[in-house]
Amino acid sequence: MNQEEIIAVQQYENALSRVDQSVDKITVLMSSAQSLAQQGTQIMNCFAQLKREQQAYEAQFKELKLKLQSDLIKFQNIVKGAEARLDRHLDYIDKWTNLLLTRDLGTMDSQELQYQRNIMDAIQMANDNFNKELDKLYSL
Amino acid sequence: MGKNKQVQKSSLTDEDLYTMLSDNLVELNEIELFFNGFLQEANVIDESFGTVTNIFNGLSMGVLASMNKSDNEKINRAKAKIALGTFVVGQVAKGVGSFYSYVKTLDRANDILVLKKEKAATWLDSLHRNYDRVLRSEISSRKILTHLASLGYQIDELISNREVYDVKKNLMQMALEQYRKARFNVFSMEFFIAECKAWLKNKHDSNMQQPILQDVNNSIIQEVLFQGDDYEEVIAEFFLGSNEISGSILFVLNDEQLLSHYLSTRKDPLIISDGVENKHINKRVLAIFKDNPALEMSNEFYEIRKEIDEDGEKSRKIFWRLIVTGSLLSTLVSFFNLYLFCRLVMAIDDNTAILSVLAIAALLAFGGLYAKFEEIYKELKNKISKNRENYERYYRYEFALKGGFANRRKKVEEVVGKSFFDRVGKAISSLFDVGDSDDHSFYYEKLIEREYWNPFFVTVSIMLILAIILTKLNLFFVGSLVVLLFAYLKMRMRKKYFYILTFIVVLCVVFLFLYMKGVI
Repeated sequence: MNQEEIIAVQQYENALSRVDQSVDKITVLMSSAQSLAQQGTQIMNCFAQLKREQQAYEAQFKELKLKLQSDLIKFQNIVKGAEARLDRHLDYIDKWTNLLLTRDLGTMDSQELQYQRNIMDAIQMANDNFNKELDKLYSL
Repeated sequence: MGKNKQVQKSSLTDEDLYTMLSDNLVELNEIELFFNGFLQEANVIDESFGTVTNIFNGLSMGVLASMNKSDNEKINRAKAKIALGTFVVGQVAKGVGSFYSYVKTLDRANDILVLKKEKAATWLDSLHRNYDRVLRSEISSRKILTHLASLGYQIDELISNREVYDVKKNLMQMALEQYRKARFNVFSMEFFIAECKAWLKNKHDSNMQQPILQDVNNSIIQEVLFQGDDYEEVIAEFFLGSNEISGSILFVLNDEQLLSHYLSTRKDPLIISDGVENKHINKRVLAIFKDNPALEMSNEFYEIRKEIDEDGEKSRKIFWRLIVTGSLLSTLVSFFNLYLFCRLVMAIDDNTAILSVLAIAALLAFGGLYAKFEEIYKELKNKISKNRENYERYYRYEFALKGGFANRRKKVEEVVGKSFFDRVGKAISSLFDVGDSDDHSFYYEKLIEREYWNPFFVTVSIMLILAIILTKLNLFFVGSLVVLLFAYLKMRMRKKYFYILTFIVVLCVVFLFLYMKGVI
């Protein structure tokens, strides 16, 4: 073989080796792409889940908004009556409290203590009613 | 007793009250639930992107793992590039996920703010009016409470009329519970009004903290019962042995929440149990509030603390004995080793010379070992005191919980940022996935685990250490101990004495060496 032929053969071998390497690279890329494609369903599921969450949020928000508007209308309708009842409970609380404070609270006499307990029961009941009314008003 | 039960039935319990006000007044029911809902959703978003990240990371790891199987350098380089590429894609997905979830959170917080504004606009006038009413009910309940608190009682009289005292106690408890509710209403209303005003100004939160029962109990003790007096001192004086008890102290001693809160703020929360055990507190006084669950809890904690102290003391004693016996034993063995070394290896016949060298070596070995053991002993002592501290922190926290402590609701602005720059900062940090560090520890830290120094394990460990030392004892070891002893002495002794000691030791060694060589 002359010099030119030797160079040509070397070039050919080099080209073959480059092709081999390219083929290997493509194989690696293909295998990576293949496993990526296998995982693709999972990724798609994630995004689908996000979309579902978004839709659910929008529906819930709409529902909440409607409920709130209806609650606010109800609130405006009942607020005056509720406040009047609150005042009535407060009047009871004041009345019974004043009565209790006229008694000897330091006593150790069992009959007197029993009497004071009855008054305290009444105060407690008025307080409970007051709290419940307040709760009812703002729990709408 | 039957009537007491009836009263309790008709009354709302503190739990009812707390749930009622928290759910309906403070946390705004559906809106609040909805807020929590989208925070959960933000987690879902994070998780979804997390899955994507994991997939890419898994791929990059797979490619990297396959690199070892291939010998071709160029292919390996290509694989490394692919691995890096997929890894970067994974990380980007993670960053984008965090950013997306942040933006969603902000969006939804703004959606909800619109609803809150509507509610605030409708409610605010009524809230102002009802705040006056709530104040009126608080003033009314306060009158009864302060009146009862201002009275004084003879302890003997209370103890001798137990039945009457029980009725009285029940009456006082009713007054206290009513006041607690009224006070909580006031705090909640103030908070709620502040929140509504903030919403109307387009802010997510007000500057006020959500009230908790601990605030109420604190204000009852400080502002109502003791009205600015140093209540700790007043109660401490009472325990010194007076026969008189004021209504305010009686309120604190008989109520579980108040007593727990009082104990949680004390330097030593077990002060009452300790006082009774050491007879600083009269048992007669104890009879007044012996049924209080907080006292029972205190006694239980006290018993455990005693056990911890006893265990610590036992460990200390055993360890100390082992230090002494271990050091002596090791010294004897090294003494014997050296003796054999001088006799058999060095073939020295002069007993006086050998014994002098041995005496110094043994002394140094003993000193070295002693120094090393003392170091371990110090560590043991630190461990024991740390153990006690941890336990103290634990029961302080438990008392605080019983005294109404609870984690306050996280403010919306803490999640989405307050100012524009704050938000931009949060958005950027979410993009790079830099999480906020939440410091919930506050000043109460929950103890995760209690750790004991069990005397048995301590003994076994020391025996093992000794066994290792004794079996490996040789001249090199003795030499190391000498160095150790000198290092130790240098740390502990004044410079002047250390140099004098070093000079004497060197002199002795030179003298012995010369003596052994027959120069002297």
